[in-house]
Amino acid sequence: GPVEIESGKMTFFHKTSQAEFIGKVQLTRDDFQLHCDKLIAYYKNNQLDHAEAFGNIKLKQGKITGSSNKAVLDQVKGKLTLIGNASLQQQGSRIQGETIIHYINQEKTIVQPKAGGRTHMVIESDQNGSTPMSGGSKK
Amino acid sequence: MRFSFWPWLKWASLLLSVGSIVIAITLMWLQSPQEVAVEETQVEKPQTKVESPLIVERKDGKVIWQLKAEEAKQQLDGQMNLVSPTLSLFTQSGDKITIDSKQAWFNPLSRDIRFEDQVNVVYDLWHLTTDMMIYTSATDVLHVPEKFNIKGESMSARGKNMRLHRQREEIIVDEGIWIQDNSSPQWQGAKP
Repeated sequence: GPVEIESGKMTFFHKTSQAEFIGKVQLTRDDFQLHCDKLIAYYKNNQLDHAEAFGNIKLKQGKITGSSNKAVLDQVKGKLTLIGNASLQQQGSRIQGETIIHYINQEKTIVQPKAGGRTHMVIESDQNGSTPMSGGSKK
Repeated sequence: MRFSFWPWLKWASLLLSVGSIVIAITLMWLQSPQEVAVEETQVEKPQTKVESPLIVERKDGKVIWQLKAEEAKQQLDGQMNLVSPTLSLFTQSGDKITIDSKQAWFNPLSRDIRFEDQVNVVYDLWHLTTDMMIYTSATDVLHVPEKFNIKGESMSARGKNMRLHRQREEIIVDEGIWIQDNSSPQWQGAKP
């Protein structure tokens, strides 16, 4: 589906095909939503190629929610990279790391720790013992 | 009793001037108010009318903009009221921005132009519509103070209070923007 971006202010730089969205920024595509303070969108041939989000980043897709200091959305691959204090939650389970790469439509999530650091995952099984976090490779 | 001439003359002239004032007021009062108003509007009528005017603005030998219209009527305050105006504005890199509307006002001194009534702006692949737009020559900025809508090849947008800086080729929107990009490629691995 289409990508919608909404914000309080915007500056579009025609020479570099970039748009800077500021103030209650919301990016929506299908059931994926990203909220942040500032978003820089990079266009190629009048199409959104990728976007960088900064400040109070919150994301939501179905039952998955997440946050980080910075996020980069690769529009073509549908890949969202959360950078800095990255975390993703789904029904009580939570993963944390320096960087989390989340493939929005492949339900695949890769967690990378800081150099020499560790990733942190909590999986809470519900009453019938099944794990809510569906398949995903963890490094 | 000796008759004195001077006091008599003084009173006679006083009587004469008061009388003429009274007569003048009476005549004006008799002339009904509408007639007076009509005379005023007649004086308002534009004095000069120009068919198919063409105004060109250059800077350092380069055409910055070119303004033409079906007709131009010069107003008393010096502004020109343009009918069916079209402005061709050229960006630094030579791209053309075309603006037209039902009418516009051109100020020959400041070279500012104010477009009103069904304003259309075509720039690159985008078509913007709004009710009013002002081009300020001194700052070289197109300003849409109110709401606007934009339709592009694969995108649409709406917002309020936009400024287009011709030289910097930047567009700034100050009171809210919403953009929908329909060109987004299907995400890889997306479920059918």
